[in-house]
Amino acid sequence: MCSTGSYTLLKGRENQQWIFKTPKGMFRIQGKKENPVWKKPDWAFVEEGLPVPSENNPSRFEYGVLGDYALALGDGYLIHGTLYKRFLGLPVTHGCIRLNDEDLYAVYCTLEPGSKVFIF
Amino acid sequence: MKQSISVFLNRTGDWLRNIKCRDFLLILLGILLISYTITSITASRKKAAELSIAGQTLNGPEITSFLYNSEKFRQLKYEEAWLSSCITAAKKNIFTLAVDLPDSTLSINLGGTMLYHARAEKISPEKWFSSLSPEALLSLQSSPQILTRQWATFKKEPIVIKQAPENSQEALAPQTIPDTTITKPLMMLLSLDNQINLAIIQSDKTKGYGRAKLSLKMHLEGKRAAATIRSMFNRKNKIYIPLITLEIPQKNCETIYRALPDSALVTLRINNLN
Repeated sequence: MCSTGSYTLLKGRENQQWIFKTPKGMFRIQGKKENPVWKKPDWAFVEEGLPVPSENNPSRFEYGVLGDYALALGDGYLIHGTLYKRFLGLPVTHGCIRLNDEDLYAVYCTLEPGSKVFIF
Repeated sequence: MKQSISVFLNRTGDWLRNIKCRDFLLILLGILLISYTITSITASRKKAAELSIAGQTLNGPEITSFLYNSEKFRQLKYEEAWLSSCITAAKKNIFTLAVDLPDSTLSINLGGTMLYHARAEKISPEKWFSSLSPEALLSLQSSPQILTRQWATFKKEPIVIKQAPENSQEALAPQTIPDTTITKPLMMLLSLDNQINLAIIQSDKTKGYGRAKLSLKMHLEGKRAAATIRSMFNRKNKIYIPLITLEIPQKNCETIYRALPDSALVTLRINNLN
């Protein structure tokens, strides 16, 4: 069971907008990481009503929110863990795929860079 | 003889002079209905003939004669056409809906991998398909078709629009999770670029089923009527668009519709409908 994109269209100022949906199609694992650090994109600040900091500002980096492992699918989309286990099975993410710890470990151990991932 | 013709013409003239608006509209409606019927019949025959010619061109005269003489050869050619279509679709790396009418199955494939599979509980192709020649059937299923249009009684992507909060206080307001639960009966109409329509409807007779089916029927008839009127004004022959209706469980219906992207490919296996 996983959580996927919420299909929310976030409208910011100056005609900025972001659509939070998980892309469909065939992808390949671009890379794997243990104890990943989330580098917050602009929308994460806009969504919380906070000013957007500069590119390498320390406030952009969040530790522990992505779980123990992360697998990159490209274009910023990841398969990663979550602190919010009660939301698994619901469309709540910003596009990434969230798994529980057990499933994430299994996927992390099984897939290698270049492995195919089908999302439909 | 001449006298009777002139009497007839005089009476016709009198009638035309005294014709009322209501009568005129009735006459116009009658003409439209007659032309609709005639164009429908001629269009269906024309389409069948065009497919036969395409099939003969594809296979050549020698193969065509074998198709009529040997049932086993015919079945092998159908199988070859279907597999060839599937291979072509697999190479393109696009989501494919594979509709296998003899086996009553629908599946979503990508790159040759089956991602999802559903069993059709009922299949109702129009009678036109039974009248097709073997070459026409071969032509119809030898290559994948592109999905040009999709219509359904439910949303494909239930997007929720959220305005960015002005400040962090406003952002603390309770968040709503979009409700993707589907409450209406699921019916969809898929239009292929070879002018065939696939109606995939749920087999579960839930609340509002009749109304949803009527909605689908009205959408379909509306499209057909619009096509007829367009062809009359453009003075072009009406294109016949046959329909295949498949009934599958509601859960499968939802997954299939939401999985299909805008220009998905569709492979169709329709032999053995005779």
